Amino acid sequence: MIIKTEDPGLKGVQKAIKQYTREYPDYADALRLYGQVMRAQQRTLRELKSELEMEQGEIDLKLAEGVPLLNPLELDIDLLKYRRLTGEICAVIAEHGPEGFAHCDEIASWEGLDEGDFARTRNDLLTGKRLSLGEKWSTDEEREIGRIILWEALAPFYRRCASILESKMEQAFWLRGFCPICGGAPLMGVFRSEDGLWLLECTLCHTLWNVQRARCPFCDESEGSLKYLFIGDNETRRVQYCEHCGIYVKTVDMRDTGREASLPLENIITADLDMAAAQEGLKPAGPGGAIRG
Amino acid sequence: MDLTRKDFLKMSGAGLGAGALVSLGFKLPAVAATEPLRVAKAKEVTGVCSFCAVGCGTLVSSHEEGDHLKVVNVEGNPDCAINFGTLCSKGAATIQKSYIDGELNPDRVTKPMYRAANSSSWEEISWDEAIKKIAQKVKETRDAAWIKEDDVIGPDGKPTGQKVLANRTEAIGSLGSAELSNEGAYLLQKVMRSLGVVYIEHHARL
Repeated sequence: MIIKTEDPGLKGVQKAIKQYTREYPDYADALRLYGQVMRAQQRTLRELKSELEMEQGEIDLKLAEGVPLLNPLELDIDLLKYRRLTGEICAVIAEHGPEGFAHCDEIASWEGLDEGDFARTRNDLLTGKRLSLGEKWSTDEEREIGRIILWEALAPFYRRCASILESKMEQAFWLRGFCPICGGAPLMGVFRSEDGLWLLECTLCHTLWNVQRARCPFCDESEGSLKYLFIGDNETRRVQYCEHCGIYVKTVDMRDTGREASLPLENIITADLDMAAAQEGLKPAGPGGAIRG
Repeated sequence: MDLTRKDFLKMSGAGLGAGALVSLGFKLPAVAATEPLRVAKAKEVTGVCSFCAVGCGTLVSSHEEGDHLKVVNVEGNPDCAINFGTLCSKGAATIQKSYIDGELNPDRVTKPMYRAANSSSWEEISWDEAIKKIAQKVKETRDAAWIKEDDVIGPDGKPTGQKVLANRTEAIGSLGSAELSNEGAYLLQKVMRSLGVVYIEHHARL
């Protein structure tokens, strides 16, 4: 089975933001800010081209062996476009964030984004290492925001490559809890509207991949250990978690809704599920988004 | 549960999720709420539909209620290569074998029941009693209807006077189940043949 992830495009993002802000007015400001970030990512994605090629035999072999198709630490990234997108995301946060953002200039002039240092910065970001952002970043919280901006700016570059590979990827070879293309952790999951298939979306390249319902995708000792929790009577948004490894992934059930989910936006409006999971002592799949594989 | 902005940020993934938005100063309702969350727990397990021989894969959802689980839904398993998440109308109603409108199905038989000859009512008996009665009835029926030999029929369709060993009973029949595995079905027919039963059937064509 091949699963193609549909990129929303600028119109799709606009439509999703409109729909989610209408349905969740209490989250409207946060959703609008993230919508602006998504639009900037989509604009960059539209400009990117990839000539990535991989033989079908190599793809099948890697998937069967549990090795992601790309080595994310070796992907060529157009630094000019990356720096521009980083600046755009900073500007969105400075303009739409309730407390603004004081570090736009520092990110723009940071030597970590120079040609010579960028590969190390990218690899530190992907492997969850601390970034040496400088003394002006006074708190861990500020540094984490800086890290998140840099991460969001990476997404379109990985998405472009993923969009080429996913059409050759037999899902039955994978069924694991990290992305088959870049090794990223899942951002969220969805039960597909047409048949309830459980798909996870990568936090880095936003590829959708299939995992088995009723089995933990994160550990091998999962026979009967997968459970879920939900809040009130709303089972359509749930935390799927494993009693054995204690890892969770939020999942939205799109059957009977007549529409498609935007998982990055769902991730925002389901903050209560993260809190419920924390109460139970569960860990998110891939905190900090570090890649695997 | 008291979570600081920093705690919440740590819980988030890599991207600009709820944790980061809280850190940026957004007052997300979920984080600002003071009432405790009403969290419910549940579980999904895989199963096989119990009706016909197709053997569609199912997902059975149960809610935790105190110290036990209560089945609340049965649906097609999208990972099953037989039905890809679909179920027929009978399969989709499987839950009614256990619960109807959330209440235990009063017609579901969960213990051996016995109706004596000429009686109009059923009584509950133990498994030991049930198995003993079944064994007795099989023995009585088999003995009473045992066919030791058959006549050998000639080309003219008439008995030749010769006999051939038969060792069978036609008074007992066996109806297997579509839910039996190949191994289970083999063992069942083996037991039946050892008893001399020749009417061995299966409801796979249902």
